[in-house]
Amino acid sequence: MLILFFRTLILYALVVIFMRISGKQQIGQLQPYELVVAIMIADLVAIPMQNKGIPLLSGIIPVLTLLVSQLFLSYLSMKSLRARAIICGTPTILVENGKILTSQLQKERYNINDLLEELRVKGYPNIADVEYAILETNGSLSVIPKSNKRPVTPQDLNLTPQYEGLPLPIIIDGRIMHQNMQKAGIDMEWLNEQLKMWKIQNVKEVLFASLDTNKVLTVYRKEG
Amino acid sequence: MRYVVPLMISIVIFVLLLDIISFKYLDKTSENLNKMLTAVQQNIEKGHWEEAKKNIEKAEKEWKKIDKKWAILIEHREIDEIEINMEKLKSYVETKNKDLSMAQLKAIKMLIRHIPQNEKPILENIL
Repeated sequence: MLILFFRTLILYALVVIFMRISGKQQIGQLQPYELVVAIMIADLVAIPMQNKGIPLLSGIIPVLTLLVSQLFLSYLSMKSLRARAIICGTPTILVENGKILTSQLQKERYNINDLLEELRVKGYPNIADVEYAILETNGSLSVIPKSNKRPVTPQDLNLTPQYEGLPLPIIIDGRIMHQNMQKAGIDMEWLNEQLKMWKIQNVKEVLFASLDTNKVLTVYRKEG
Repeated sequence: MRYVVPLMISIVIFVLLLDIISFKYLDKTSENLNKMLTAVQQNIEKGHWEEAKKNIEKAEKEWKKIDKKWAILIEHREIDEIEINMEKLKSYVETKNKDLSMAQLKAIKMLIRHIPQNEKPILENIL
């Protein structure tokens, strides 16, 4: 029992390390060669995890080999444009100037229902509103609407909104982020005063507090 | 989130307890079986074939009692191997072949002793 427990722990740690090294791409949108690795890893690790007769190394070595090959391919696709086109493919335009390119749809084995479904998901139920639809290399569809159908931006209304910047988290889960306080140029005295205004005695009561660029502190209390 | 840590601890404790209990059970039963087989070995050495046959039957009875429980804990292939070797031993004893029955007996003893050793959570077994 414990043998299986430890074997699972070791292999799990290995896969977690693998995922961290192979980059953030891995988690969200997979390129074809990354998807292959993800599928293979699941199988490679599962077998030695449960079969004590197989040495752990025969699970570890293939995973390391895959890691090396994946790093090599991603390095290659980063350095060379041609290699990138071969390894990841190129984006395909499915709708151009409001016209559906059926030959491209056929080439990608993407039927009209798939296209309509993706467009609906992206918030364009009417295909007439779409100027461009591009099938990206990771399989997601980018939609560029006709200019009269896109949401209004402040620029359209000739407005110049105030600079917003990024709000800084000051307290997370009852812990003060001193580094962020330094960045924002506030001290403990100021923070305590603000917390008093929110009727908070102890920092531990705070789930999250953030400071926006106008030096306004917003506090979210813990429940109960 | 409040239940996460207790759940983690209880699962680890459960695995630990299960491991200790199963290891002790395997160790005890395999030792028992080995003792019975040692008796058979002495019978064969002295040429008491009838005694040997009776003792093998005793060991087989004991084996029938534990093999289903062993099947929960160890690989079924190992159980099959012990059973096949037991059958061979029986026929060697029936034909009163001393050399072959001794060899077969030692093989079974080794197989049985080997099982709790295989279940020990030592580095060699983990890797």
